[in-house]
Amino acid sequence: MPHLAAVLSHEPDSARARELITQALGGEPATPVPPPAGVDWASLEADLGDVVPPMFADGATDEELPEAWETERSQVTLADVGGLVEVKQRLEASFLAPLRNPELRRLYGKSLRGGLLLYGPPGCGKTFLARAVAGELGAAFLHVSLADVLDMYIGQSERNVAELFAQARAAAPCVLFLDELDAIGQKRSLTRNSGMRTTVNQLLTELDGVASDNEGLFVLAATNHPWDVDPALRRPGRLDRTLLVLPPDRPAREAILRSHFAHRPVERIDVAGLAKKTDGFSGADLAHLVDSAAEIALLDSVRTGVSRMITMADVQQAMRDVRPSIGPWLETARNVALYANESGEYDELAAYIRKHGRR
Amino acid sequence: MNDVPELVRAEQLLELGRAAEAEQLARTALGQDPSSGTGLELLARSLRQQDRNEEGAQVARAGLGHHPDSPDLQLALVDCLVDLVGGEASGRSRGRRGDAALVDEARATAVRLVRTEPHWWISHYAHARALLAGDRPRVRDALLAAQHAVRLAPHAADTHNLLGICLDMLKQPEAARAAYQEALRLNPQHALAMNNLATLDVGFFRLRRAARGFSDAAALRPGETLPQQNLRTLTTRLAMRTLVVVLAGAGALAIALAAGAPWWARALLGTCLVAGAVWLVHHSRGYLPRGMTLTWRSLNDAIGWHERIWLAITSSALVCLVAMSFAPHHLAIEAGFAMLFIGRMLLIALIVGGVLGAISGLKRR
Repeated sequence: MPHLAAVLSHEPDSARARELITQALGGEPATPVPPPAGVDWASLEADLGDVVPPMFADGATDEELPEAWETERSQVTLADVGGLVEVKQRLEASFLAPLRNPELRRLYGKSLRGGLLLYGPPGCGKTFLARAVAGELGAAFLHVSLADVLDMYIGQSERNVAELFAQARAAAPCVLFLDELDAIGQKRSLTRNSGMRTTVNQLLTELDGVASDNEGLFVLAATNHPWDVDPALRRPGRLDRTLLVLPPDRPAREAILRSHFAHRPVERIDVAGLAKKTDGFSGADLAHLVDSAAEIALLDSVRTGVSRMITMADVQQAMRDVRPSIGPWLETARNVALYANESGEYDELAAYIRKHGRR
Repeated sequence: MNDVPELVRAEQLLELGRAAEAEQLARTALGQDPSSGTGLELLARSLRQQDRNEEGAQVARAGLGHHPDSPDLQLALVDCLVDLVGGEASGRSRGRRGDAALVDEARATAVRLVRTEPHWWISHYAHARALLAGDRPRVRDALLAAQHAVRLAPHAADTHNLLGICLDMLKQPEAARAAYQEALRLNPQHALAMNNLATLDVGFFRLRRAARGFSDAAALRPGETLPQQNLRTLTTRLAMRTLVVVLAGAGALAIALAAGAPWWARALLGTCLVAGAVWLVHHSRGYLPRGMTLTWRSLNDAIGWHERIWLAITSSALVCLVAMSFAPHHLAIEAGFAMLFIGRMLLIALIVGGVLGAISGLKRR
């Protein structure tokens, strides 16, 4: 055996050596197997499927890293947004109509540059509207918030912004939605942290598309505090159109309440009357109200041992605890409308505050 | 660098002015390590940013119990205490029982901070603020501390602003103006320096410039109440200026009435006076931010009862002036008596200090 092994190491193809080693091992000489007529890919894949990946990579690999942000396809359209007729009309006129009519756009020389900034009190459906815009356009939807971008390490936030835009461009047509823009793009004069300033600079560069083409990339942003957003971000060609998204009006409140009650066991709920009584409630407040009513009914069912429906009495009891949450926002907005509205950019907001007379 | 993710995020959120969220994160981190110095400091700072200075001071005190030499906690405590007693030279001191003890604690902590970090400009800045706080500010000592802070950080607009406040309180308006202007040169968006410079302009009767300063400061920091309060005070000053003009006009008309001037002469004089007063009102309206004077309702929303009373008195005086100009002789004399009554009330108000309050009610920080 040792001699045969030495011969095979020098002449691996020696037929005689192979024959002798087979005899020495006590087996029959191997007969050549005819090649298969076709490759059985399924069995090959099944064999390779169990291969364990290497324990260590030690340096760069050829494998692509997973994408940092999840791109989704929105199934929601503006038709799914309850009420907010005026907002939808303005959204259609200022943003969607030019995008849907390329011929007319070319005829009137309308550029596709620039984005739309949605602003208004918290919990009033800005994110839902952005999702609906993506659904209307049939575009991919990339939702990014402060936590996704800001990083404690120097330079990483800027890199995150660059990667985010690169991914959005790769997924074009894509609606890139920057939530909490006041946090990502805060006025540079207000921040003492130089890292934040460079993040804003990076955002400006990406919005301008200096290094790459932003064709097919529609930037939407939302903020509760547009007055804290760096003015450079709102210059023409960037987020140059603004849309005020106010608390839902009465039809919208009715629609929202109906949708929240839709999949719960309810009995004789006066949704129209409830919508009338909940003036100033945001969408999130309405959801909270319905949840609270459901909780009251649930606790009662647990206590009595008899499950029952959610009734108007539960809703009325919940109404005593749930208050509109946009009060602090309105207070700041009122100051902005009074003292920081020289150019008239917050006239619409001022009119709303005057109309509702909240202080 | 602090490695606890919640605290890193809390620091970022505080920087962004989102104190409520920062507070939640700091509390989460403190749940894991209740004696964390950074956690307690961030919690104190986030509470202070929400005007919950009493709670902030308690947290900072608790932190100093664990880390007595932590400059960040010492600074947080000084800041909370100074804000709690009404800040420097803001005229907000409520003279509450126990405020003197808080001021003493703030000053003692500030001295410890200066000893811990003698080369940190913020130590001296905080010390100067503590010395200015309360009913009995030690302005000269504060000036020395502020000058030290300026020497350590000549590039920091805050130090020049504080120096300006000290000089202003020592009745050196020109030096104070130079300090505020330097602060604004270093940071043209420094709302407080803008506000403080405008208070000096009011002292020199440069009302238009002062109004511009207050308006710009209020626009830059809509959440800051100081420029808004000063704008309200300025509204009173504008109303008072108009009232003085109207009273002077009424005096001229009273002479005409007493001299038995013919109706057309009185009407002619009255037309000139009323037109002048109306022009002055319109002109004064232009001083205030657009949002404030857009409608009567927005003006009403922006001002307080004090300003409303002054505006009502001025409006009544204007009506009397019109009556003295164009009404029949006996009614004109009645209007003159009403005007006399207003003048007498104004005099009483001067004596009891209402007007003095309006004059000295401008706030600096």
